[in-house]
Amino acid sequence: MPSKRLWELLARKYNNELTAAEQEELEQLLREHRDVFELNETFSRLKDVPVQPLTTSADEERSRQAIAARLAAAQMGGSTSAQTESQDSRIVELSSARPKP
Amino acid sequence: MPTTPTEEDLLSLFRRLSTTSDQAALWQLHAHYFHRIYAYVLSIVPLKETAEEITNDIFVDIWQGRHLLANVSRPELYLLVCAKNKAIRYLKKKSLTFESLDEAMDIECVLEKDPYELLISSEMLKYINDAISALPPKCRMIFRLVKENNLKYREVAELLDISEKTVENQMAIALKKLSASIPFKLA
Repeated sequence: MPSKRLWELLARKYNNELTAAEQEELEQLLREHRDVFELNETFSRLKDVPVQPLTTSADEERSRQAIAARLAAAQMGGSTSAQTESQDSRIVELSSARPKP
Repeated sequence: MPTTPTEEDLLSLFRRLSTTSDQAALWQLHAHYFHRIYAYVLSIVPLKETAEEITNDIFVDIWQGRHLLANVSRPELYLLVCAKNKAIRYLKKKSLTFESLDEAMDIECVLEKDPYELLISSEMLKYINDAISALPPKCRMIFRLVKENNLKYREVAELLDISEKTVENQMAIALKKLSASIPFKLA
C-alpha cells in the first residue's frame, strides 16, 4: 500500500512543485511501489487533458456582445457595469484584487 | 477554444491593455478567460444568468481600470481574485454571505475527450471522469481550479483563503481516489 507521503509527492509533482530533494524521494518511493509507477505516467499525461468548459461558444459570443455594448455605451457617455456601480467603486474593487506580492 | 496562455502571454496582454488601450487585447483575454472566470463565479453565486452578468462586469471593470494592470505581477490570480471580490460583493448586496469554501456550489469537472486518444484512451477517460464526479465537492473544486488554471498551490490557497497544505492534501486525496478508479491494465 503506497504511503501518504507518496500521494503528497505525486500531488506536488502534478503541479510542478517538487524540489530536487522531493523529486529524488519520489523516485525512490516509485521504485518501491512499481504499481504506482504506471499511474505516475498516467497522471503526467492527464495534465495535458483540458477541462470541459461549463460554457458554450454561444455563451461566449453573447457575453462578448454584452460587454461590447456596454463599452460602446460608456464611450457615448452612458453608464456601465449593469448601471449599478460608480467608476470609483470599480477601481477600488480592482485595486483590492491585487494579489499580495 | 484557445490554448491556455502562459503567464508571459498574459502579462503581455495586461501591458497592452494598460499602455495602449488596445481593445483587441481585451477580447483575447475574454477568449481565454471567460469560461474560467464564469466557472469560478458560478461556484460562489450559483445562478447561471447572474454568474454570466458578474463575469461580464469583470471584463468591463478590467477595461475601465486598465491603467491598474501595469503593475500586476500574477495576472491569472489577479483575474480570479477580481472574480471572487465581485461575486462576494454581489452576495453582500443581496444580504447573502459566502464564508468559506464549504459553501461553494458543487461544480462539475469533466475532462475533454481526446479525439485522437493520444494522451488518454476513451475508456480510461470514462473511468477518470466518473472518479472525478465522485470526489467530494471541495476536493473537486480545488482539482478543477488547479487543472484549469496555471496556479500554484499557494495561489489557490490564497484565492480560497485556506492553507497551502490543505490544497496539497486535497490534491493528494483527488489523485489517490482517481488512481483507485483506474484499472492498471489500461494505464
